[in-house]
Amino acid sequence: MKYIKNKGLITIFLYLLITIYFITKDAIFYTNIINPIFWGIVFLYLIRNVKIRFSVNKIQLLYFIIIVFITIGIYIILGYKYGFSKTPYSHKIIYILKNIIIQIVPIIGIETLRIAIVTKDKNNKLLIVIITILIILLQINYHILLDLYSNKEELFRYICSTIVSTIICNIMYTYFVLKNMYLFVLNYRVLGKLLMLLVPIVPNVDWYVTGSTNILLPVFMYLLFKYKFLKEKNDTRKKKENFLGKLYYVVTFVLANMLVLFMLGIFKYEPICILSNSMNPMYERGDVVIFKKVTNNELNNIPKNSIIVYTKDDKNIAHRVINILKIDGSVLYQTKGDSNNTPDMDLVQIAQIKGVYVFHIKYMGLPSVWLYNYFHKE
Amino acid sequence: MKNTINIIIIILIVIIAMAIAYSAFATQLNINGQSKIVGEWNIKITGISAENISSGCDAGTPKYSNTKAIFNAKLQKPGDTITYIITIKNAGTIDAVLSSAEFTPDDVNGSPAISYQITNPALSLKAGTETTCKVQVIYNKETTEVPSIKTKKIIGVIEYVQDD
Repeated sequence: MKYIKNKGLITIFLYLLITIYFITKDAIFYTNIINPIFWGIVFLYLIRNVKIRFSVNKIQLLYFIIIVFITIGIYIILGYKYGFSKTPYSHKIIYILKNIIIQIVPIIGIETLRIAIVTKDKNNKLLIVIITILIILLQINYHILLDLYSNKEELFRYICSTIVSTIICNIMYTYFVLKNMYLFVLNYRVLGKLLMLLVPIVPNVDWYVTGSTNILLPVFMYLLFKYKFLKEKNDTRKKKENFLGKLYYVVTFVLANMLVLFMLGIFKYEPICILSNSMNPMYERGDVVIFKKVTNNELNNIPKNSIIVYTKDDKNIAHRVINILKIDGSVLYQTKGDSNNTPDMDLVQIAQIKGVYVFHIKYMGLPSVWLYNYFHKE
Repeated sequence: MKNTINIIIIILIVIIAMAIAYSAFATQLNINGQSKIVGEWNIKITGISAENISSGCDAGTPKYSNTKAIFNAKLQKPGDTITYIITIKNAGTIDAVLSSAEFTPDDVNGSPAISYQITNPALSLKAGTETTCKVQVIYNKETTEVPSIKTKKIIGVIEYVQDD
């Protein structure tokens, strides 16, 4: 067994070096040929030489069904809220098979290796930590990281939306394997990738929705499993701890979700961070403005001197209405920042308006301003 | 229990940090749906340059993010032109083919005398290669009166799909 463990770790480490080498030399050859072949061989080797008990129990099955339903539900809700867009993947049989070989075979290989190593010595914490780190490092797309290296902002977004969630998901996957839920991990990962390759549409979401969903979903999976499905012998003291723990986790988890939903504008009130002083002294750079979404009817009747939040070239702007015009039957608003000398260049169309100013919170957006300055200092 | 508390705290910090970043980047172009980096799929606009700028005209500062480009051309008189060259790169490892190249002018705030012509980018875009798309913004030669608005903003979205 020790032989298998060490051999497994050494194999992963060497393959990580090969990955990094090939990504810098020929990423296309590596991704399309070397990677699927390597993980296919690893899978076949482990299936033949290591006894992995792929037994299905009721808990795994029920838990898997619940999580799949929740995942699909989130997918549909996000699509309903933000709309759907086409996936870039081809849906011709031959290309579906090609995509499956390139993208799913490595997942099966990696997960089988994780199962083989982690389940053989569950008490060896160091080994479990090392294997998890190595698997995380193997799943990072160095080709894209290298490509984004020169663009700090894009790199930051990619790290938030993809790499952070890869780290958190892999910690959760190792935890589930430790709790004998390997079939769940394997099926969940394969099914997730299959959905991406087979379903022709994806929710039209930005990096923040992608990142926060990919982070909060595994945490939810973990909490649900730990407090609903995991059967452990508890004494009275532990039960009391568990009750307080549950309460704490539920409150914190709900708070994290509420924060994400608030930022995404799910509620009637939505925040934007002010990055300029154009409305000084009303509010200034670093303040957060809370605005209220308005109905279609209200959009046509926004009174003069109101402050509206609208988008221009995908930028959010919160300026005061100084004039209301009616051109060809359409209402157009002329806006101006209080401290600007001239009105804004373009008239604001109703479709651009996000809402009407309600109140602002001083200095709350300063961390965002600092971050913005950091990425735009040149 | 202690480990779980640590995990929850770390997750909360990550979520708050992302919320801060989200606010900071809210001033940037949105990257949605197909234009996102998904797995090995990474097709994006890597630059926009302006050439053949008629005398006295202003090409502005074009903005772009992944598959979306925005430029604001300021032309002075009938016959003036500016040509924008949009460079698109397939930085992923999947061969792609052009799905659509849609350009939408801001007709409400822009001059009706300014129009545009597009030369579509290459239909096929192999992994690791680049292509360009030309957008020529033209001040209508036939216009007899010079309107007060001499600008036009054009938003372009260029979408590719897997080449099959």
